[in-house]
Amino acid sequence: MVVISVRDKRRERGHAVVELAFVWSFLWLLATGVYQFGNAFYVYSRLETAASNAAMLASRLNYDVSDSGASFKTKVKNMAVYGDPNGGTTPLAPNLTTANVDVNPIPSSFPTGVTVTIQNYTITNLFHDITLTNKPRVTVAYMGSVVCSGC
Amino acid sequence: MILTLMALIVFIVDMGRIMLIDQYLVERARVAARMAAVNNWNQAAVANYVAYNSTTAPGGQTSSAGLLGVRPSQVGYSTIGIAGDPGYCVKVTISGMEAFTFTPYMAGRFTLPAITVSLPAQSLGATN
Repeated sequence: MVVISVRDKRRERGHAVVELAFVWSFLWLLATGVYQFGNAFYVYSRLETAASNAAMLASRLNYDVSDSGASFKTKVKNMAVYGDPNGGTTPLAPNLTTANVDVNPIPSSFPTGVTVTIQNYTITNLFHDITLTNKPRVTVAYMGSVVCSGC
Repeated sequence: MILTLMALIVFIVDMGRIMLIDQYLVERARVAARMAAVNNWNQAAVANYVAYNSTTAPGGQTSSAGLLGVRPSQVGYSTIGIAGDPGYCVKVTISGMEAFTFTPYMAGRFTLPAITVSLPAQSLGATN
């Protein structure tokens, strides 16, 4: 016959509480990890689509040398942020602004290629924000027309 | 404890499923935008293509749910700019898609954020 004393029962209960604390903290980490990575992948996918579509537009848009490509860059940035070269109100990715988009014609005097980069974009998460530095980035060959409206 | 674990597993499955649906819709919107950019398609053709992978609805039933439950009425199509201009774009939007979860305390139906894809128009069906 096994006799379990009151002290043993208390000790078992204490063990259970400690185990629960360990397992619960592990499960909590797992759940938040799943959410954070899922959200980051989701937002990154949106950014990738935005950058590649903007790059596709940039590859064929007229490049005006008289304003050093300013209007060209504005249209490409609007395309990346709003999906519309003329601008819009709802960004394609949360909190994405035109300041987060860098358009770099290579070379700027007479482009043969264009790079569209999402820069300093922060993916807002519950516990740990992720700042993307110069990614995603898409480079395409420039196949549009270089024009000079002010010449 | 086992209930918590089960809830966590259901949560993971739910999130994975929602991401799958979202990625699927993004892919449909991208493919439809690409096809619209190189063909002279109208709203109905684009909407049917997103929902049924065909420019015409099977049996003419445009109200029936297509792939993963997408209906043509949930697909928007518009063009941006002046035709022939290098900045002329096509825009495909999928909105009002619903996803559901079984996770305890958050079970129910949720409307997914609208998906918008814009692409510069290319030949738009021009043959020469």
